[in-house]
Amino acid sequence: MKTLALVLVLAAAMCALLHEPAMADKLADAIGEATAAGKVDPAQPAGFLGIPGGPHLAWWAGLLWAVWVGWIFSTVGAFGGIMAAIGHMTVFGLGGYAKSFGKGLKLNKIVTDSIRTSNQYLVGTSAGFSTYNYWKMGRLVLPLGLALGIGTIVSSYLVPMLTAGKINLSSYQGYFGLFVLVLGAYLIYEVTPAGKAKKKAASAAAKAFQESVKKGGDLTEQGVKIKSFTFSKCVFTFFGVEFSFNPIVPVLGAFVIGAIASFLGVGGGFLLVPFLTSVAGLPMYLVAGTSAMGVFVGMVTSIFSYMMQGTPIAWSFIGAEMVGILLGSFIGPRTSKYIPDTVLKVIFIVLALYTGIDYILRGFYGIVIIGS
Amino acid sequence: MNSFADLNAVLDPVFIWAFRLVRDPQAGFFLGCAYVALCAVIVGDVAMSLAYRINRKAFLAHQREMLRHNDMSFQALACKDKEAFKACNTLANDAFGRNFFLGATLFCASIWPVALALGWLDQRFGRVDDLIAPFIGQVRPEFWFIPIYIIVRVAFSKIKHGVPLYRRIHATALADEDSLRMRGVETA
Repeated sequence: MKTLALVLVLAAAMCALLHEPAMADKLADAIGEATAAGKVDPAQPAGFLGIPGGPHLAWWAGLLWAVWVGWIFSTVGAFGGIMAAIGHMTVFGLGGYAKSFGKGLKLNKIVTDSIRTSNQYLVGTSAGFSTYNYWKMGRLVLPLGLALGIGTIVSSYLVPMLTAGKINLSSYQGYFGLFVLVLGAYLIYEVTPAGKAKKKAASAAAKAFQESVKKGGDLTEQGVKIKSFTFSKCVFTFFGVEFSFNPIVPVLGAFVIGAIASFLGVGGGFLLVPFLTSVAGLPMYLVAGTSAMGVFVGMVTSIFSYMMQGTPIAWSFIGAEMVGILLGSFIGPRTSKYIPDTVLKVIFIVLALYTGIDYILRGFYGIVIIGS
Repeated sequence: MNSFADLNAVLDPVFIWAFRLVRDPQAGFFLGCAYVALCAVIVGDVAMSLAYRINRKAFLAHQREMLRHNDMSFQALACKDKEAFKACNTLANDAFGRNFFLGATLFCASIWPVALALGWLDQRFGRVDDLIAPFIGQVRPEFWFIPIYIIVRVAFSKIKHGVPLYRRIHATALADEDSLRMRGVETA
């Protein structure tokens, strides 16, 4: 009954957020403006988002590309979201199409916002799935979730409100390239001896503990117990061991990560979990569920904020891509045993560096290295 | 069948009849949305079960690894060994990352019919002028469909365990869930 009430409240919130009577007018106005500018020929058949002369996205093309995205999701994880965005921008030609309207026209920004939101649909669903699972397992830490929720809701609402209809494809592509380049740099660090050493040390320490015949221990003080809570410090015990963190840190961290996720159209979960395990020092299981909830709340806020701004969505195309991601996830686990983890990482480092540099040059400077 | 218009043309006879069951257009729309939502919930549920079966080995491996490191980190805490806890936590975090994205693909199995249904609804009712909501005015089909889908999905989750066929379809997943101690709190 509680679940139903919670869901109905969520549904009511969605209803309020989905109020978008101006959406059809906004797209129609943008098409009208582009027609007057000679960029759209109304005699052409309707394509992407119903725009006359727009690209015709074949369902099988979306599905096939998403198989590749799904394969990445199930082998190396986060990079799948990057590939989904690359598909929308480059493979399906939506980036070039948006750019063809020039910087001044609304249609450029509407298509860009549609790409951003579509990316979020594809990569943010994981947060919904994880939230439900961890909620079922009773592993959501409400105070921490609240802190994360405040940060992600504020940023996920502000970013679309401040940038929807204002960011053209070139700017978005440039910033996206910068993000991919940073991710590539992190992947490089992971394959360096220094990066590997950290993991090896953790494995050795864990193994040593396992073999130290430390059994039992005092399990009477299970669970999280808040000892003191001020605006600058939260002290709690978990299994009797004392931990502390500054409550402002999760709020600010969630705000920054939520803003990046909302602006670029990426999930954000893969950033939030490591951030919280290192900052709050909480057990992964508590952080995982709580941060998934934070990301999910942020994602829902962000998506519906974009919709409030009148961002149209190509629903059927997203559906076809979801099927593709699913098919790709069947292939991933069956091929990963034949490809060493380091080889996979090197492949994605190359892809990240190429995509990052290419998008930065195209987006910020209009320089094209390869292709058109 | 190349374009989404072709795909929607295929879906049209499957869905549209439910919207014409009653004379009143508003009531017909809600009834139709409920039927489309139910189709999306059932197809998604069956697809998720099939996806789980196909990838069961990978799901179990990831979840077992995650649980093993997690349990070990609790053990370290119980022994007041903070360094061992941090080490186990790091490994559990890596395992969680792999599990997280594989879980995302499983969720896709459950909700892809919703996206296709929304695509069809958008093409069919996206330009309908008299689709309204009290105090708000003109709205798009999603305004009504998403809450209806959530209600149908919650209602379905309440009754599905009583359906013998459901237990057969999900028997593997339910057994795995129990074996992985996914029901209730195991260590914390």
